[in-house]
Amino acid sequence: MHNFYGKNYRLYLAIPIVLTFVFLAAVIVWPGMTQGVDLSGGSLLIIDSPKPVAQKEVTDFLSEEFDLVDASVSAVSSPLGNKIRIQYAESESLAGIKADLDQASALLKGSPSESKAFSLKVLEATKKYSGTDYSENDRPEDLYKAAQAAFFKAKEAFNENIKVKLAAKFGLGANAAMQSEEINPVLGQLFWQGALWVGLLGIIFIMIVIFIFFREVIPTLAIVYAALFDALGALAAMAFFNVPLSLATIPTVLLLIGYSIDTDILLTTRMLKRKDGTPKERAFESFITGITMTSTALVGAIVMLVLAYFTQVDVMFTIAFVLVFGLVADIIVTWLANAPMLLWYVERKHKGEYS
Amino acid sequence: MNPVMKNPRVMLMFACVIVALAILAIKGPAFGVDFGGGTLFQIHLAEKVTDTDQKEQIRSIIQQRLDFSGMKDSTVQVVGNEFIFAQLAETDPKQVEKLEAVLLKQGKFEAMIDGNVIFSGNDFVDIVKDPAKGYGVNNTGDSYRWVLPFTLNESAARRFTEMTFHRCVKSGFDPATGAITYECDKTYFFLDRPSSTVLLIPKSVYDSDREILSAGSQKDDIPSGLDIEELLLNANIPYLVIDDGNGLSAGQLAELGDLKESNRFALIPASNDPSLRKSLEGIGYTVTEVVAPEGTPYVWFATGLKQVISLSEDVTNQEPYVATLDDPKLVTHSSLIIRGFAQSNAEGQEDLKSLTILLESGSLPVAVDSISKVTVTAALGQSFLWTVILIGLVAAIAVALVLFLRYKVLALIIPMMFTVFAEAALTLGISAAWGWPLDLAAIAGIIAAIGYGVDDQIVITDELKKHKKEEDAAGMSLLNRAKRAFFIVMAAAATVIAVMIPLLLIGPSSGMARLVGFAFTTIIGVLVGVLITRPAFQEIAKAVIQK
Repeated sequence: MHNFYGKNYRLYLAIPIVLTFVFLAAVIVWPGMTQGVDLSGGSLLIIDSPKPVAQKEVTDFLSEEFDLVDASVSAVSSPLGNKIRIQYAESESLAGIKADLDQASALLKGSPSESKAFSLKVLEATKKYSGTDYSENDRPEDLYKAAQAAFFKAKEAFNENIKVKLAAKFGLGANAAMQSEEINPVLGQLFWQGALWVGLLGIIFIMIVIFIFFREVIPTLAIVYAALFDALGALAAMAFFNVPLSLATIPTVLLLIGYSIDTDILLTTRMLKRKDGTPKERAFESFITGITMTSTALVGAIVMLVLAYFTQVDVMFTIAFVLVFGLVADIIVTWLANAPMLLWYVERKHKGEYS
Repeated sequence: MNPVMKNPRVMLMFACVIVALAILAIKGPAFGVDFGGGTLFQIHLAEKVTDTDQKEQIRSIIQQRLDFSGMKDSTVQVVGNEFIFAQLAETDPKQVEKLEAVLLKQGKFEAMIDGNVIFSGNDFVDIVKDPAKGYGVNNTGDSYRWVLPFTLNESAARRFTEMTFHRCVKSGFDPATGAITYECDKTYFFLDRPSSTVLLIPKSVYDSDREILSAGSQKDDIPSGLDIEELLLNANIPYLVIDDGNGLSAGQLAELGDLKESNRFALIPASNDPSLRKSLEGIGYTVTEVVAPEGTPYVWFATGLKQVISLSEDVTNQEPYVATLDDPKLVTHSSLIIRGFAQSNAEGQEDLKSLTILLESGSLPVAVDSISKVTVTAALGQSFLWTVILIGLVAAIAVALVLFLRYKVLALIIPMMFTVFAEAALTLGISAAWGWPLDLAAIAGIIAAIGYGVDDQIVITDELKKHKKEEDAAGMSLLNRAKRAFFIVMAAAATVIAVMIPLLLIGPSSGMARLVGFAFTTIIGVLVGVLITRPAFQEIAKAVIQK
C-alpha cells in the first residue's frame, strides 16, 4: 500500500464534514432515534421456544387476545435457538385503571371524597380480583388501600395470563427459559438527566486529559471532534436500522470513544512528538498501525454482532452494533479528518523545514 | 527456559494471573441476575434520602417485607440517594408480581386473641423509639433484654384491657423466690391476615405443621408449645382439613359450597396435583397456591402470622386486685411494652427491629414512587453465560487471525493472546475478590478493557518493530522506543478512565445504576493492563523482535 497522504490530502476533510451533517440529520430529523423499553418504560418478554415460531402468528395472537399498546414482536430462529421477543408499552385497560388509581392517591389528602370516587372506580373495574369486600361508606384511605391491592392482583393476573396463554398456544412448556422486564417510565426520565451529565462531563474530562498530555489546542479539539463524530456515526446507524436507544447505549458510546481515542493518540503522538521521516510518512505509518488496531476491534465486534443477534442477548447486541458502526466511522474520521488536520497543523508550524 | 521469563515484570504478570485464578477457583464470581437468574427490583423512592441512618432504616424495612414473604436470601442495597435494589432468586412471574405488591404497599397489622382483633396498625398513637423511654436492648447479666414501648388510642386501650382481663392464671409457686408463677394466654400478631378466604389443609400438612408448631422454630420465631388449633382460631378464617390425594368428600364439597357465600378466595399448598385446584374453581373460588419456605409451617405462612407474644400478669391482673370489669378502680392500659430476651446484644437488636417494623406494618419513612423489575430464569441466565463465553472465544480467535495476518509471527501472537487472557483473568479475579456482581454490563467492561489491551499491544509492537528497521540508522535506543510506546499507552489509559469516571460518580443516583459495573470493570481492566500486563508484554515483545 502506498502513502495516500499526497499533495491534496486536505480534500479528504470534505468527506467527514459532509458525513457529520448527514449523521446529525439522521439522528435528529429523519429517521430519528427510537427508544427501547428500558428508557421509554414498558414491558419486554423474551422466551426460548423449543421450535421455530412465525412472527406473524404471535402478533396476530396477541392482538386478538390482549389490548396491548405499541406492541412489537420479533421471532428469531437459528441453530443457536429460537427466541420470541415481545415488547409493549402497556395494556390499555390496565393503564386506564392505573390512571384512576394515581388520581385516587393524589386526591387522598386534599379531597378525600373525590379520591373515594376514583378508588371505587378502580374497585369496580377490578371486581374480579379485589381481595376484600368494600362499601361506599368505607374510609377513603381504606378504599384506596383496597383499590391498590385489587390493581396489583389485576396486573398480576394480566401478566401471568400473557405468559400462560403464549405457553399454551405455542407449546412452550411450563418452565420455558424466559427473561422479562417491566420498566417504569420514571427510570427513563432520570436516565436522560444522568446521560446528559455523563456525556458532558466525559467530554470535559477527555479534553483536560488530552490537553495535559499534548499541551496544544488544535490537536486536542481534533481528538474531541473525532470522538463526537464516532458517537454520532453509531447513533445514525441505530436510527437507520431502527435499533432503539437503550441503557446499554451509553456505556457502549463511552467504550467507542475509548477506542477512537486510542488511534487518535497514536496519530497525534507520532505527528507532534516524533521527528523521524516526513510528517506524511509518519501519518502513513500511523495509519498502518491504527488500521490494525481498529480492524481487530472491528472483527471482534462483528463476531459479537452476529452471535448476539441469533442468541438475542440484547445488551451484547447493542454493544456490538454501536461498536461496528462507530469503528467504521472512526476509520473515516481518524484518517480522513484527524490526520489531514494534524498534517496541515504540523506543516504550517514547521513551514520550510520539509518540502 | 527463555531468559525473558525471568524478567521481573513478566514474572509479576504470571504471579498475578495465578493469584487471580486461585481467587476465582476458591471464591468464584458473584453472578448478578443476568447470569445467575432471579429477579432484580429497582425501587425508586419518591424523595431523595441522604441520611445514612434513614437509608439503613429503609433498607431493613424492605428486607423485612421480603423476609416476611418468604424471600429470606434476598439482598437489598441502597444505590445512590433514591434507589433501592433488591435481588432475589424468585422467577415465577406470579410470585414476582406478588412480591412487587409487597414492596409497594404497606401491610395490615393485627394483634389477635380468641380470634378477635385487640389492636391493629391503625390503633397506635405512638411506637416509642426513644431509649430514654425504655426502647432498646439492655444487658441483664446472663442475657439481653429488649423492650419495645408503644401507646394505644383510647378505644384500643379499652379493648385491650377488657379482652386481656384475667387472662393469666396462677400455675404454681417458685420456692426459691417465693413468687407466684402464672400461665398466660398468647396474642397473635398477623400481617395481612387473609379475609374472605377459606384455608384448605391436607391432612399430612396439618400433621407436620402441628409438630413444628409444638416444637417451635428458631427460624421463624415460633415459640415452642404452640397449638395449631389455637393458631387457626386466632387467624379467624374458615379452614378444612382434607384427605391427601382422595379429593374432597361430599360433606366437604357441601361445606365449601356454603362457605362460598361469604368467601371468594381459597388458599391451598402448592402441589403438582391440579385436581384440588380444579374442584375449588368449579365451586367458584379464586384459588391461590401458597408456597411456604422450606421448614416454615404452611398454616403459619398462609395466615400471615408473624409473631406470638404472651401476655404477662402485670397487665392482665390489675394491681390492686380488681374483681370485675365494671370496677371503678380498673386501670385502662394505653401505654404498653413488649419485651423479650436474647442471647446477644446483636440478636436483641435484630428481634427489636423486626418487631418494630411489624407493628409499623412495614411502613416506609419515604414513599415508593415506582418499581422496575427484570426477571431472568435460571435456565436463561445459564444460557446467557454460555453465549457470552462462546462470543468471547470466537471473537478472540477472530482477533488472533487478524493479528496473524498482520504480523505473521506466531511467537508474537501467542504472548499477545496470553496477555488478553491474563487481563480477563485478572479483572474477573479482582471483581470476585471485591464481591462485585458479574452481570452483562460488567462483562462489557471486561471486553472493553481487553480491546484496549489489544490496541496497546499493537502500538507497542509497531513501535519496537520500527526501531528494528532503523537499527543501523541513528535512531532512538530501544529503551527510548519503549518509553515512547508507553506514552501512547498511558495517554490512552488516562482518557478511558477519565471517560468512565462520570458514569461511576453520577450513575448510582440516576437511572444508570445498573451500568456502574461497566465503568468499574473497565477501569479495573485498564489499570491491570497499564500496571501489570502491558509492561510484561513489552518485555516479551522486545525479546521476540530483537531475535
